[in-house]
Amino acid sequence: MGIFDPDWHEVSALVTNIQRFSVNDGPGIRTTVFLKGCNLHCCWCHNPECINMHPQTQFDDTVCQKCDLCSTSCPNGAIRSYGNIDQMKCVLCGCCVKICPYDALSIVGERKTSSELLETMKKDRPYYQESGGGVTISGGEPLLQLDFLHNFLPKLKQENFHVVIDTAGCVPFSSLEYTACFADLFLFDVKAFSPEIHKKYTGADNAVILENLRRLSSLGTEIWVRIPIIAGINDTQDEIAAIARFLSETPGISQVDLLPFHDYGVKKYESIGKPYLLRGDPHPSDDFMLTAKRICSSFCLPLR
Amino acid sequence: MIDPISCVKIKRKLAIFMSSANNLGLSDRIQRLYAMRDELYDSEAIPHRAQVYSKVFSQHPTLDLPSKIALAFEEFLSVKKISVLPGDVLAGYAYKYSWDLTDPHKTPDIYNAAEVPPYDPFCIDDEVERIKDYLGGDENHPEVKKLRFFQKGVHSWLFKHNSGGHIIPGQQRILTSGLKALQDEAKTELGKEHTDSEKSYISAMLRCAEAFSNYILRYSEEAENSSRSIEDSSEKKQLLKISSACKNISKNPPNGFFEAVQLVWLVHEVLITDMPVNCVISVGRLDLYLNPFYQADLAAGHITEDEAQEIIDALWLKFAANEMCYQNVTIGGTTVSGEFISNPITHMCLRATERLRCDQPLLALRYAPDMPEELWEESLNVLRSGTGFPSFFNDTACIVVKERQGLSHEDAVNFAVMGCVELTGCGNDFSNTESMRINIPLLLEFMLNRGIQRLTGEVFPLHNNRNLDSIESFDEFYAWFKQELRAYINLGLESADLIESFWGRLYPAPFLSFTMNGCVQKGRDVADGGPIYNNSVLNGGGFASTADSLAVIKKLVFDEKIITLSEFVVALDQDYKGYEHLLRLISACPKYGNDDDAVDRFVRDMVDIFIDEADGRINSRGGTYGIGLYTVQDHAKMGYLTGALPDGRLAGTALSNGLASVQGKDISGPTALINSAVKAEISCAGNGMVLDLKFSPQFLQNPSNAKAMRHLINSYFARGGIEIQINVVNSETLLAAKREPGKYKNLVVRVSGFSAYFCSLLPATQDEIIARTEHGNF
Repeated sequence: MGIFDPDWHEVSALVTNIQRFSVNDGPGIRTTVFLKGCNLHCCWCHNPECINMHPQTQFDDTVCQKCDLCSTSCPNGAIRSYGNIDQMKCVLCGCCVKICPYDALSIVGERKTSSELLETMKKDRPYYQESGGGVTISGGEPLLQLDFLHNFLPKLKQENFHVVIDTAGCVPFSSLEYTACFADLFLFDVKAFSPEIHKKYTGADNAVILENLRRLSSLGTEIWVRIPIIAGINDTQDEIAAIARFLSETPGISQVDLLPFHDYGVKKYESIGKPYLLRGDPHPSDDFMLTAKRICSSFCLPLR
Repeated sequence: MIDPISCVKIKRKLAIFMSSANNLGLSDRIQRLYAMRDELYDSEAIPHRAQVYSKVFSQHPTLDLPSKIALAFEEFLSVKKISVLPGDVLAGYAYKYSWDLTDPHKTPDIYNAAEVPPYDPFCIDDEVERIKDYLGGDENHPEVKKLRFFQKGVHSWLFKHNSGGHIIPGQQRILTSGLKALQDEAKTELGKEHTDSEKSYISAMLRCAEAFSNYILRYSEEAENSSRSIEDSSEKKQLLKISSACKNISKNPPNGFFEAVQLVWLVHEVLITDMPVNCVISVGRLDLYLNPFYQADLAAGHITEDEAQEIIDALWLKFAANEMCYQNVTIGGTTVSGEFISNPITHMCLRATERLRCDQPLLALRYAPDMPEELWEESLNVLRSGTGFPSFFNDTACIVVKERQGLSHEDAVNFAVMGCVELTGCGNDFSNTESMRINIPLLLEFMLNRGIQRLTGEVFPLHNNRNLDSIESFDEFYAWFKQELRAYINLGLESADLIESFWGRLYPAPFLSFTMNGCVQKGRDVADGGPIYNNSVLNGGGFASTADSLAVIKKLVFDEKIITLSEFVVALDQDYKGYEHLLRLISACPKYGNDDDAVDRFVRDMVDIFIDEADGRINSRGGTYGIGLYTVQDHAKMGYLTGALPDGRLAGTALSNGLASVQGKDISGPTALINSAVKAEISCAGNGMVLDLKFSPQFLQNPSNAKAMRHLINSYFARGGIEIQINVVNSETLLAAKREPGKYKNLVVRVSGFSAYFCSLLPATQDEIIARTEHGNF
C-alpha cells in the first residue's frame, strides 16, 4: 500500500471513445482508445471532438425531435434553441443530456482511470490472441496525456498486450522515447513535407515532427507511416515525392499507408458547434491516388 | 427453422437475377431454365393431391390409416401430372411450395401485423381434435384438458408448436443401396416376427416405395416420348439420358453422378409433395454423398467439371422452385475418418448459390478453423454476393453436443443442418425440431399483469400469484420469475410430448419412414419411434428482451427505487404513452449484447434453466431433449401478441431474435456481442442457435477485414459457439438505416480505408455507399 504500490494513485485519461473490434488501427483485431486533446488543428481532421482538451456537449441532429426541452432545462441559458449550444456558456452540467428523451445530447470526453480502461481491454483478449491484435492508443494526440501513459502503458505490457501508439509526432522527443519503451508499433502521421503547407493547414511547424520521426526510427520500434491525401492541400506530385524521399531516407519504417480524405468527421463539427473550414471537395481523385502510390513505390517504400 | 436474416431478407433478394448472367458463367441451358422457372408453377397440383386422397380414403373406409395413405399415395403418383421439360437437365418438378397455399400461416417479406392473423394456428387445432377422438371424444379427459390449455397457449403465442417434417431423410441409404434392395429388405422384414399393426405398416411403406419406383419409371417413359418429337440432337440426347437414368434408378443404385443427382431430386420432390404441410425436408451432406459418383465419372472420362456444375445448378433451380421451404444443404465438415471435406462438389454447391442467388436451398458450412484456405475464400465470395450464405457451424462443438444427445460417434460426426440451424442426424433422426418454443417475455407480462395477457385478455394462471407491492427485493422478484419460467417450460414440454406420443399414429408418413434407417426394421412410423434417434426439443424466444427487461426492473425499481412495480405496470398498460421520460431512464440501463455482466447474467441463467429442465429428460418416444436458441420468425409473431415490455419495447413489435441482442442495442461491436453470448452455455444448444453479425459488403471487400472476420469466428468457435451467420447488408437495409438510424446503430460499413458506423456518416456519404452497394453487388 501507500506510495510503494504502483497503483497507489489512479491516473485517468480524458477519453472520447473506446472502439472494440477496431481493424484499421494496427494489425489484427484491436481495442482502440481515443484520448481527447490535440496540439495540431488539421483542417480536415475527422475526429474534431478529440481536438479540444476538455469535455464538450455534443448534439446529434439526426435523432433530435425538436421538443426543445433542452433549452428550457439549461440553467445557464447556453442552449438558444434545440441543440444550438453556446459552448462558451456551457458549463457541462449535463442537465440537457439528462432531460433529452431522444438521446440527441451527450457529453463527449469522459475521465476514465487506467484500471477501468484496462478492464475493457482485457475483455477482448481472445480476439487479440487469435488475430495478432491488441490495444491501440489514439486520439487526438495521445502523447499529450503523458502522466496517464506513464501509468497505463506498464499495465498494458504487464498484460502482455501488443501496444500501438497512433501519434502525429508534434511532441517533445522525450515523450516518444519514453513510450517507445512500451509500444510495439507506432502509427506516425506525416501530413505534409513543405513547412508552409504544414503550418497553414495544421497550425504547426513540421520540423519537430520530421525530426522526431527520424530519431524515433533509430530506436528500433516498428513504425507505420500514414499519409492523409487531401485534395487542394497535399495532392501534388512534388509534395508526395518530397514526403516519399524523406521516408526513404529514414530507415526502420515497415509500412506506409496512403489514406485518401474521407468526410466521416464532417458531421461531428456541427455537433460540437465547431466551424468546418475546409473548402472545396477535398477527396483526392482516383488518378492521383494511383500516382501517389506510384511515386511511393518508386522510392521503394513498403506500401500496404 | 430459419431466422429472418437467412430467410425473409434472402427471399427478398430472390429475384435480383441477373442482367449479368453471362458473366457469371452459367450455361445457356441453366439461363433458360432460370428464365422459365416461374412459368412452371401448376396451381392445381396441390388440390389434385387432395382430391385423390379423399377419393381413395372414401373407397377404403375400413382400412387402417397408414394403409389408406399408402393406397392414396400410390394412386396419386400414378396419375400426377408429370412432364419432362424440353431443355431441362433433370426430370421432375415440385410444386412451388408456398406457406399461404398449404397452410394459413403466411410469411410476408415485411412483417406487417395488420396483414397477418393474430395467431398462427399451424396444426394444433386439428391435432387436439384428432387426439380427443382417439381418446374417445371426451372433452373432460385429463389429457384433452391439458392439451386445450396448451392450445390456448399456442393461439396466444405463449408457445410455438409445429409438428412433423423437420427431418433429413435417408437420401444416403437410397443412393448406396438402390430402391430395389431396400424394398427387398422390407419384404424380408415382413416374413419376420412382427405384430399385425407393424406388418401392416411395413406393407404400407413397401407399397409407397414401389409406387415411387413406378413413378420414376413414368418419368423414364415420359422423357423417351418427348425425345421422339424433338429435332434438336443435343436436347434429344439429354432426354434419352434422363430416360435411361430414370429406368436404372427406379431399381438400382445410381450409375454415375448424373443419375445420383436425379435420384436425390426425385426422392426430395416426392417427399415434399407428399407432406404439403410442415414439409420441412433438408438434404444433408450433399458433397459427402455425391462426390464418390463424381470422382468415378471423372476418372472414367464420363463427365467434365462444367457438366457437373450444370447438373448442380439445375438441382439448385429445382430447390429454388420451393420458396421458403427450408431445404438446407450441408457442406464441409469432418468425416468419420477424420478428414475435412472440401471436394469439387463442395465448391460447386458454393458456386451455384453464389451465381443463382435464390433463397433456396439454404447453405450451411460445417466450419473448422483449419479448413482449407480455398474453401474459406470461396465461402467469402458467396457471402459477398449478399445472400447471407453460407451460415457457419462449429464442426467440433456440434459433434460434441449431438453425442451428448445420444447419437453414436459415427452418426454425430455425420450430422447435418436441418431447416434453419437445427443439428440433426442424417436419415436416422426425427427430432421434431419445432415442437415447442416458449415466449419468455410473455411470462414476465403475466407476472406483472395478474396472469392476464395484455393484448388478448386471455388468462394464464401463475404458479405463484403475488402482490407486486409485497416484493421487497430484486432477488425475490427474480426467484419468482425463474419459478414461473420453470413451471411453464414443464407445462409446454409435457403437452408437446403428449402430442408427440400420438402424432406418428395420427399423421403417419409411410414413404418418409421408408427412407429412414430403423423404421422398416421396427415396423413403425418415423414419428412413432421408428428411426434410431427420437429426440425432442425445448426452444426459447426473446432471451435478450427478457434480460433487458429484468435489468430495467432491477435498476429502476429495486436499486434506484425511481418507480414501483405497480407504477411500472401502468406505464406498460399505456404502452409508454405519456411515459416518454421513463423510456429515457430505460435506455440508460444495461443492455444485453454489450459484454456487460449486469445483464448478460440473465441470459446465462435462462439458458441454464433450459439446460436444467431439458438435459437428460426422456420423452415419450425414448429420446432425449435438445435446446434451441433460435426463433425462425417467431420473435416477430410472438411479439405481435406481447404487450409493452419493461425494456422499452412497445406492444406488438418484434422480440429479440435468437441469441442476438434486442435490435440495435448491441452498440459495442461484434466482439462484445460474442462475449455476451458465450457467457451462456451455448455449446449445449443441441437443437441449434442463431447469432447474427451484420457487415457491409464493402467491409468484406477488404482482404484484411475479411481476415479479421475469420479471426472473430475462430475465437468465437473456440469458446463454444455453435453457429454464426454473417449478414452482408444490401442497399435496402442501408436505406432503412438511413430512415431510422435508431434501429441500426450497430451497422458497420466500410467507407474507404476505414470502417465506421453507418449512422454516423454524412447523409451524402450514406447515399454514396448505398449507390456503391448496388453497383458493387449486383
